Amino acid sequence: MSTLPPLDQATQINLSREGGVAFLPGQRNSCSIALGSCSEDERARIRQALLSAAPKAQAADEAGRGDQRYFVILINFNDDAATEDVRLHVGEQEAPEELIRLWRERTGRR
Amino acid sequence: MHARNCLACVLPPYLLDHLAKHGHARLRTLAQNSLALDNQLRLRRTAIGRASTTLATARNTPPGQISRHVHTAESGSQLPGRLIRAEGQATTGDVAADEAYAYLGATYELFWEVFQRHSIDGAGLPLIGTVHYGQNYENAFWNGEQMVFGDGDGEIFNRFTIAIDIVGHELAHGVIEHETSLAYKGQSGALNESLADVFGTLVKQYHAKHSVEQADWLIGVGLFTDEVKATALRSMKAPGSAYDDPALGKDPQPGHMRDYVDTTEDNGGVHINSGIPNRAFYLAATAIGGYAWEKSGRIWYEALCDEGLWDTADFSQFAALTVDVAERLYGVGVEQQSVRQAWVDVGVIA
Repeated sequence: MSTLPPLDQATQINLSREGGVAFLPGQRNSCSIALGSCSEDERARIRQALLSAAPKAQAADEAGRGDQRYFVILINFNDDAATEDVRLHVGEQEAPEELIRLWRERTGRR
Repeated sequence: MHARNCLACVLPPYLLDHLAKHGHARLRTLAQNSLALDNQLRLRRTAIGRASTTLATARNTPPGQISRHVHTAESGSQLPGRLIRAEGQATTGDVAADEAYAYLGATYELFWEVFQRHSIDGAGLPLIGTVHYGQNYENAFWNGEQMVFGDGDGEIFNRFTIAIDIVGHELAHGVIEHETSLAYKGQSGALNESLADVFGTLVKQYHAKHSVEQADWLIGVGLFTDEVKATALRSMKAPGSAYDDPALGKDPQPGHMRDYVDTTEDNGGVHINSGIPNRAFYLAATAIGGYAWEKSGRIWYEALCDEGLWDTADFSQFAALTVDVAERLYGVGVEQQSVRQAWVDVGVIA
């Protein structure tokens, strides 16, 4: 059993930021990363961001409490072992720098 | 154990718990070992937390005496940051800091003077606020210990201390958290958000001494810049009408159960479907008349504090509770009938 199932080229990452004092439809922001189109270096960096973020994850009904913003990470696996998708909720205040950097690079958001 | 096989390193406790109960045999063993380690760490954290609580308790004030501590994060994210205005100190000239100080005071006044509640925990917990959080940060929140306010980006959002009801909303999250563990998802989460809006608007109305007719029933007036077509974050009177702008989208709040939004976003629509109980409060308050904090506010506050408010309460359960509380406080009369009719009018009860 590895820390996370292998993030091979068939894996897709969906990253969004939710929460806050209001839900504003026009301010939705998310990004999808097809790992198959990433370089080895990029995949390693993304993997590190996910490994750093996973221990910080909260239960879905705890994330966002009190209007705190949080990241939702959806990891799709399309491997022979039929690994189930993983969904993680990581509070913005708890989010590791690697995840925040990845978010900013991919969405252009602060 | 090899780092790659250390479940506790990567999986949150609730997932570990799930794996420990439902995973394959080897996975269950790993998860159980990891949970044991995690529990040890949690016990240590709890001990540290108790020490922190003890310090906070030592600073608690006598009933009726407020204790505000406004800090600045100086565009960083360290909390609480540098203290810039403690209780009784003069204005700082920093608009956000002085607004936070004033509006935390206004919120304390509502809870103390109207509901005889001594601060967030009812025992004089100091009110800790931090302004200038992050760079152009577009949010305000309660993190379980304190209120935090961003400066906004200046393009869509102004500073988040500009609106008294937003400051009240965030402090109310602290009160709500001390009274109930309403699950932050779906209808219970929307009730959580609605209660924060109810007390946020009551802070605003009590501060201005506005009657139900004079009140604008808007949440977050002033928060948006003139660059966007928006009057506020939310309207309790007419949910769904607060903004309509390309940058913001259209206000998605429903005001009736027939328009309930079933979604996985926003923790299951906690800031969306809160429009329904928000409008119920508006309808009850305007039907009862006078000042909203006197009767309808009292009913909602007592419902919040009632042992019958379950963590998983849905709209209809909360509606029934408010009707019961109205009868308990005022007997069978206009108050109880107005509360009941309000919930009927938003489609929560028949």
